[in-house]
Amino acid sequence: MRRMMLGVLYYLLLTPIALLIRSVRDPLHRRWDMNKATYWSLITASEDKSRTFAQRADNDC
Amino acid sequence: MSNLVLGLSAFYHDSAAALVRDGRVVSAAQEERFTRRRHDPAFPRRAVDYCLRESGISLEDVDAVAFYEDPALKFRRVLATYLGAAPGGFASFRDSAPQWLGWKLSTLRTVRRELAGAGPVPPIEVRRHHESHAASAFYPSPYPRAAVLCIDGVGEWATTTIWHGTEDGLRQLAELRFPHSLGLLYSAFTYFCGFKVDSGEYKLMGLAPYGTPRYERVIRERLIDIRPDGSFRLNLRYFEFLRGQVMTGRGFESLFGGPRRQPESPLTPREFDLAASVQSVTEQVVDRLARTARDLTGERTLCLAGGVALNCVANGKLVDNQIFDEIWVQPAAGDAGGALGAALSVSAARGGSRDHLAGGGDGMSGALLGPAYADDEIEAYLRENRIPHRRWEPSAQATEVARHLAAGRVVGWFQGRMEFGPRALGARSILGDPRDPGMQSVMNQKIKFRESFRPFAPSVLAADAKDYFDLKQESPYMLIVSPIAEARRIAADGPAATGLELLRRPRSDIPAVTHVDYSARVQTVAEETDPAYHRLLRAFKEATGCPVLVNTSFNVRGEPIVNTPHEAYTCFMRTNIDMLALGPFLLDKAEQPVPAGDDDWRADIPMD
Repeated sequence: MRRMMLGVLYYLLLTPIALLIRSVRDPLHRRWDMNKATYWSLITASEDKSRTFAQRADNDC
Repeated sequence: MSNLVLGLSAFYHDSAAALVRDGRVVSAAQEERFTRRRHDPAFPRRAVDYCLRESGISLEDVDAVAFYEDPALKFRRVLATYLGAAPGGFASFRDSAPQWLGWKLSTLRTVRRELAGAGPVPPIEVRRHHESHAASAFYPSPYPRAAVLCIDGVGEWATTTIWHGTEDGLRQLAELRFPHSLGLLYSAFTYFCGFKVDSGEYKLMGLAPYGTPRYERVIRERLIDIRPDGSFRLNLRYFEFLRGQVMTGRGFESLFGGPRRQPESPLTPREFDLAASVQSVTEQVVDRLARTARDLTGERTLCLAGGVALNCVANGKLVDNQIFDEIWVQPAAGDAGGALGAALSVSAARGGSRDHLAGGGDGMSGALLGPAYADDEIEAYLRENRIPHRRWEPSAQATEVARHLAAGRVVGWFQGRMEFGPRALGARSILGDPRDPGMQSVMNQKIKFRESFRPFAPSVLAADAKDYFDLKQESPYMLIVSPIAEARRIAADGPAATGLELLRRPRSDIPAVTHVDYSARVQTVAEETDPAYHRLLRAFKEATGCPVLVNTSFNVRGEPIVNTPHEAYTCFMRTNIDMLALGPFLLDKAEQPVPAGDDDWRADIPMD
């Protein structure tokens, strides 16, 4: 029963959302791009010095 | 602000607890050592109890609890993985969704509930997985400033991160994200070669020198795109970990000539060559990542953590290539060390300092951070169980043990506080004479009951290391592989050997610790870090002229390293260890009673 519920959740809800998202962009950035010099995501300095969490300059993809 | 922080890692792999006071590491231990379940992922209840007991405190004395990763962020990554894989990936979803929809999403509530039995629970602070690794690498390091590089499989999103450690703390500079992971690439080959993911990676690394890297090109062309700055992407078409519960499938089979090796089946030249190839690619990536870390920070020293930092061959190449003046590797570089890193990070934010810098050394106390057993406790155990033993003064004991080692006997060495991290460093070790050409085979097959190809590591007096190894810096945690010094080598003669035939040729005057490529995973031993083990090495040198011992962990294959005197005695009696040094007591196998009804003990220990 649980397996069927999970199947419904996966194929009828999650899969259509996944296909829709992937038609716009790949959430996992899988494509190799030979024109890119780097795959690094650089992190800019945080304003909050009490933590090392940083604000992200998401230059990935 | 008072500053006593309890760090925890749990619920994935190798759970652990660590206690940090004002930035100083007080104690740390992996849960597996108490539960006797290898890499135990359960909540580290007994490790927590130990840390509190060691300091004579209760949970209400603790100012904060630090958890080593962010469960909510991890959940978002897991969800994104399914969005990237669906309609594939249902098998994985079916197995993991109930956990995520249940307790895993509320991990911190689970932590609070688990701790509640020990007293009022202090505030729980979360650190990201790589933030914990970076803190474990930098804060206890001997450097005031350093570049910090963390490389592992995956925590939340990050798989590779570069940080800058300074007097102001740690700042993250760059990251690579899941699914592009050097750790997962290595684990995929570990799986394909028939070893267990998350524990068999050492075996793959040990296998690499038997092969030639003939698959390196196909790996570089098809599996991983590496940019000049070391950043990379995997080609997920060839991996299964997004879709299922295994690492590889048809993609690898098409590239590497058929199905994966079945666990425990004979090794073939293909596995040797696959190991050599992925090891070579890993070294290239790590080298480039380190150069980028140097360029981004401008620092001359490097700190390393994350599971890939346990790849001591890659670490050795970093040292040899002199990208940095010196490197320091967190001895618990894997997830267990996350408990320590999270605690150090929270402690730093609460004003903890790095007082160990004044002494010039690191802040890990030789990784001797686990439980110790007092002499009278050990003696009571021996008397209660009528175990024949003799008590020795420290220097006389060292001389006596050295004499037995020099006569070719194998000694279990149980002294002081247990090590934190995967390596035995002379507190819970099995020792032998490295000059004996038969010692590797005896130790592998009659004591550890493990594969014959696996190499053993040497401990050497720090002052004598340069006479035996071409080592450019100290290696206190056995995490740097170095070439055997030219003067110690014996040239191979006769027809060229391949694969496991290579094992039969002595390659140096310390053959038991010389791998087939003339390398060794060295531990340098300093008197101030471990006086008892240093004394023994010195006694062995006095007896033989050789300041080196074979040092392997005190356990058998598949079992965690021993913790208590009883576990040490049991392992001693079940294996062909000849002598056991339990604190100041020496036990001779020849004087022990024959154990009854313990013949099928190996069936109880799962294969690693």
